[in-house]
Amino acid sequence: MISRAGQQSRQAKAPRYSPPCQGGCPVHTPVQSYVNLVAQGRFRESLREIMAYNPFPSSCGRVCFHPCEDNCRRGDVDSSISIMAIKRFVTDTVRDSGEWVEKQDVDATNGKKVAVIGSGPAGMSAAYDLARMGCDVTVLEREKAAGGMLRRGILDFRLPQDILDHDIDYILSHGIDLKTGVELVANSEVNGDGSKVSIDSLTGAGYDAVLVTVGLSASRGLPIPNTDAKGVHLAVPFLRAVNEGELPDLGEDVLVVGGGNVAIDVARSAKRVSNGKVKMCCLEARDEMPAHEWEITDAVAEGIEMHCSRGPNEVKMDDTGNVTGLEIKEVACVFDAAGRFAPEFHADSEHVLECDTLILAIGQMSELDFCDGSGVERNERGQLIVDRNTWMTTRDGVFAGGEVAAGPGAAITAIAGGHTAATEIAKYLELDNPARFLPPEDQYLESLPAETADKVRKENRATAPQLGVDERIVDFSEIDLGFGSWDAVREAQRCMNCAAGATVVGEKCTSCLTCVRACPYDIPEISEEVRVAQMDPNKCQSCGICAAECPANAIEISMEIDRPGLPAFDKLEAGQDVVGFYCQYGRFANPEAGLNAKVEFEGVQMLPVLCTGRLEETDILRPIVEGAQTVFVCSCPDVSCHHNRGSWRAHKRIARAQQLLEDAGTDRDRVKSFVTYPSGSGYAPFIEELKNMTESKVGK
Amino acid sequence: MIKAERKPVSEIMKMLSATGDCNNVVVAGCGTCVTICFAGGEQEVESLVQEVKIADSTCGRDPRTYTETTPQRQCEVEFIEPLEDAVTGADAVISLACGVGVQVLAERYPDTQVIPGLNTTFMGPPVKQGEWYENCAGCGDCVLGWTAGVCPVARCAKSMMNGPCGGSQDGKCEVGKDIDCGWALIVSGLSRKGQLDFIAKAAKAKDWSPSSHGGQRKMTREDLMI
Ligand SMILES: Cc1cc2nc3c(=O)[nH]c(=O)nc-3n(C[C@H](O)[C@H](O)[C@H](O)COP(=O)(O)OP(=O)(O)OC[C@H]3O[C@@H](n4cnc5c(N)ncnc54)[C@H](O)[C@@H]3O)c2cc1C
Ligand code: SF4
Ligand code: SF4
Repeated sequence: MISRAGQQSRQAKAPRYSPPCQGGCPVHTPVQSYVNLVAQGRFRESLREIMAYNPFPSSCGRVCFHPCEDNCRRGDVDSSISIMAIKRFVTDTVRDSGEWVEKQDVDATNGKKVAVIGSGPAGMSAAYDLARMGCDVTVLEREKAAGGMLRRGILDFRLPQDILDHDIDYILSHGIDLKTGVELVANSEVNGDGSKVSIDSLTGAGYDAVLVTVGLSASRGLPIPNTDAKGVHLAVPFLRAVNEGELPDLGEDVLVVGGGNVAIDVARSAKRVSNGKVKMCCLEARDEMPAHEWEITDAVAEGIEMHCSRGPNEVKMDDTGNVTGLEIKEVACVFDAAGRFAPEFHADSEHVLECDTLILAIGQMSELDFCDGSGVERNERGQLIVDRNTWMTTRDGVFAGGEVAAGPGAAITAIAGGHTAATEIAKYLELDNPARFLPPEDQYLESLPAETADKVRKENRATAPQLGVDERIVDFSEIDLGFGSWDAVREAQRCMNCAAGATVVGEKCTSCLTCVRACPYDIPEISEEVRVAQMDPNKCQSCGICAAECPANAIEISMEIDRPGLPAFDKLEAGQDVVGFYCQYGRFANPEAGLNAKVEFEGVQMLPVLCTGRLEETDILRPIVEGAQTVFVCSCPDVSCHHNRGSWRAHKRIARAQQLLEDAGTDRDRVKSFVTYPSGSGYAPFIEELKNMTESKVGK
Repeated sequence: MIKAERKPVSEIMKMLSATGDCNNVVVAGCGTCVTICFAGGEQEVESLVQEVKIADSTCGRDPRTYTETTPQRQCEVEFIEPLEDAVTGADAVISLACGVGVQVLAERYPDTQVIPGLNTTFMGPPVKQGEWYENCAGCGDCVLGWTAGVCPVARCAKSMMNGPCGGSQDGKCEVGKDIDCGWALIVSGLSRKGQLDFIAKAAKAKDWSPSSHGGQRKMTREDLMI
């Protein structure tokens, strides 16, 4: 191409953004890419995207608090995409296929030894990164099995152990040495058999760096009388006991104190091991409870009683020292005017909530006895002192990450903490490219402006089925049943491809107004400042219609996944002489339908398009120029077009391509058009015709 | 702006074969007026090349090599000078510019065969996306101020200057039912403004010498010359 001589740059400044779902995720998982690959039925590739920065995909697909969904702009139109359920579907499908994604490359050994203490999500993620950078990594865990709170805190009804095992085995397969039953202790406690080690003993054994990721493994108690009564338990040991099958006798009536997620887990576990009543009490009002709304709803559905706005005053017990109840006071307010925690109670409101078992789930703290004499210091509140830039403790070469360093959070936050800690250790060890496993930061879109949201087609959110409540509470069977493949694909197709939209090459734009007129969402404007078209990235719906219409080829659509929405016809493979473009949103996205067509009809190159409205007539004719006998386009019916006018536009361009063929002296029917309904109708006649197309080729 | 439409590929092919073997072809679009009317922009260049390729392969001809280019305007020498190597090395250039661009190209590269790929049609605006009409004939002596902003030269089939002819029926021209009678529009426009007396001014004998009847037109501005 010869460039346009003499033309000044009129390129509008277009900062690139990333979708907000990705911004919401602490490890910036490329949500849009993996959701899109599911929308195309490409599950294994989707899993690779999911695992870009998350080595716990199977676990997170079940228990993540999914901040991606809170940020999802579909929520501005109707309701957010069921991103977590899609992730779970992908991990289940690929795992069930018997062939997980391939192992990641591991650098040649660099001779550096790193000890990671604690095998929760933070420790395992850091170990995974450091092992891939060529370090000799040993993970030391005091429990019998790795996984941290994902194993001991979260029970099988939300996260089955074998699912967690799968994540952990994959991580370990990168050459990490896991030693369970090994506890980090103070120097004075170290024993000879290696089951108790200290910071000094580790550095003495030649470790170049130590990472402490011991989490918040102890439960807080309550400073009220009689918490030592029999039948009073703390949340973490209780969950651990349930998990290990060492069921305590809970009696008929269980009371759980606390209003957070852990308290809910405790209550729901108690419901499954007791045969009586389970109730919860917490300081907060129902709408102030710190637990996630969906956790509370599930708990209530399972018959757990909520006693909100109640503050514990005293544990009541009988003569034999067994707990009989909890005296509580009614809360007037929990927070002061400035939003600080400062509970006030109504006078003379004491009364007793009876119980046989009382479980305190009011928060966790770390166990840091190993610090004594180690040079790793704690602050006046008993927390580790950690430099927030380098994540190093007060002792050189000893780092901390995850909840012990950053405070309580979630699995995915701990994973992010693991990446950060690994990066800092790699810097400390002077390794090459130390930040290579650190999720990059980007600029993220904000919410979708209402005037655009109004114009987007509404599509209901699909939710995965769950076990019925009666079936749930009898044992620890997993509650969520997961999406079937078609449901997952349809749900993924609701994604609006935020931030993957149109940008204008200012040098080419002739300000012809075509995009302004063609956009179904009224987004392009001719900028007064630079006098070329501009699309507000915050509003563009990435339909690609303007790019296909633009006579100057001045509009580019960005999509990060490899086979982008724009058709990527390159060349015919040997034996192929039919090329088919099909709408990714339509019938062909059904994995079975797509596969059938590919397998049964050799000689056909199938190309998904993110709405056939993106096809230009040159896209349609290119395969014919390259030697194809026939090109077909399968679009959706106008009524179900994801982009309102996409298939309508496609039909016009197909007609134009047919006319050009006729003008060129060949058969206009070499371009064929089909309408296939996502539900399936239109598909059988299409398959018949496709057979004819491929057979007629065989006959020639 | 100037409007144009693509010639049928068969006509372009005929000119190509009349030129000789033409194995090395430049297809040159134009990035201004004809881009805007979807006749000669970058997208149309690509499309024409595809069509020629398909036509060639349909009749069993060996493939040619193509150079595709779309300068900002073909009607200015500065924009087409960078095409020199491609154009002088080519057996033919298919120009998707209006007649102005085709001629500038042909004049600048007199030894190369320049084939017009478009028919230049008229000057006029889009009515809506995909539909255009003629509304100015470039007569060189504009009367729009007397005619309610409607051009009698371009919009009357006979370029009448003193009112409609006898063929005006219900506001339509006798040439075709879908053509508005320019004079009916002028009269209704002037009536609305209370300016019917303006017709007499428009109807004065028109000087056609600034129009094409006076031979090739030229313009000079001494003050602008460098
Ligand atoms: C009941 C419960 C439910 C939860 N539910 C969810 C949820 O649904 N979704 C979500 O995202 N997050 C949830 N979380 C939070 C999540 O589990 C934590 O954020 C995450 O596990 C913290 O990771 P970590 O690696 O920092 O620490 P942990 O996971 O706590 O791992 C620390 C590890 O260190 C080991 N360790 C401790 N001390 C020593 C020592 N001295 N020597 C050797 N090893 C030691 C521990 O045994 C443990 O294996 C839940 C937490 C709890 C308690
Ligand atoms: S619609 Fe898709 S890209 Fe947009 S925020 Fe939701 S998941 Fe991300
Ligand atoms: S036509 Fe589609 S891609 Fe272009 S600006 Fe509008 S929404 Fe964005």
